[in-house]
Amino acid sequence: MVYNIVFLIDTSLSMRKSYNDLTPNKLSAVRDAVDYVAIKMLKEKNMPVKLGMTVFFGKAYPLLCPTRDYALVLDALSRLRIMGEGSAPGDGVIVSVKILRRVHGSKYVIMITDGGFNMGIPLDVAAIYAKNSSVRLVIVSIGKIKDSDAFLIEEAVKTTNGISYSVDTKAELFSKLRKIVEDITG
Amino acid sequence: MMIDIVLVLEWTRSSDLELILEFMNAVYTYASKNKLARIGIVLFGKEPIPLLDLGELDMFSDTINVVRNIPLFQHPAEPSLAIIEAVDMLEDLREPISSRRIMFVIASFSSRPKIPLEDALLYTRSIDDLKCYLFTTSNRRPRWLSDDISKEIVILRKGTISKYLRKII
Repeated sequence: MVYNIVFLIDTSLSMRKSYNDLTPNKLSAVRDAVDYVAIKMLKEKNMPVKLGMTVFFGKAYPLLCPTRDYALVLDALSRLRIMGEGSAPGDGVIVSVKILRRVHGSKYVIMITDGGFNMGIPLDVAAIYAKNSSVRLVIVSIGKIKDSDAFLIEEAVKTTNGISYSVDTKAELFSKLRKIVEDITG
Repeated sequence: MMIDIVLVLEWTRSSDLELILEFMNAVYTYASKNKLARIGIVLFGKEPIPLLDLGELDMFSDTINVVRNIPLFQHPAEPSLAIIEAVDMLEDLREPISSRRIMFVIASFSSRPKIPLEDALLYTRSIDDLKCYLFTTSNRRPRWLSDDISKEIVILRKGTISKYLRKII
């Protein structure tokens, strides 16, 4: 069984800010945390996983189809940058599910975001497409997010039989991501 | 013979939602006579939203009930983008064995889209074995389209759905 995991990363303007010890900014901390679990899965433990990557801000696009090549994952991580205004997580989910269309095995999208959803396809509608494609959504939110965003996150994970976490520190971000991939791979 | 069907459905305040749902149920009825049928769905308003990739009919049947509860999308509708999205779905999920491929577009065509409908239809004609059928839930055909294309649009009414589907599927 191959576990296909797409990291869907928020690259909107607000990710440029630092938060608690998530420094110099939230996006850098996310990059380090994803690198940490990628090393664990692909290099240290040689788990049967393939990792992909997509990003969203006011728009969304794919960066990496699921692969076992750590060098490519590292390359994609190095390409992560703040892209601009707006936050369209639903578009991100659609793009992520599309790159999993032709893939065999179990399928997961791990979204990491600080909220502020204000554009594009509603997250709860995109989650229906994920569910229909047998893709589970796991959503990690950073810091305190708006109630309306929290509601959409809960609806989306409920629809796809996924799970959500909230983190406030770097240690929490690292440990939760590690727990998520360990839960996925059993 | 395998048959792939994608429904491209406008989901805005200009749509007759009950008629669309009736159309979906009728497609299910006709398609379920073919064990090799697969159906996908793209909804659209201002943006296209793939809702169901080509797949088994059971999944389609379940999704009809889900669609009913989806809030309406923003205007103005862009059918061309949705048609392009549907073509991508058909191409991405194409199986090596030969198949008939059908696209049903149901739209209000109430305003001229930014991306010309003619361009999207040209794109569908460039795809092997794909036949695209246009339906509207409005009472008349759009005036902003060329006569050639406008006359191909079928005005959908409650009692006529089966007649068309029987001929096509």
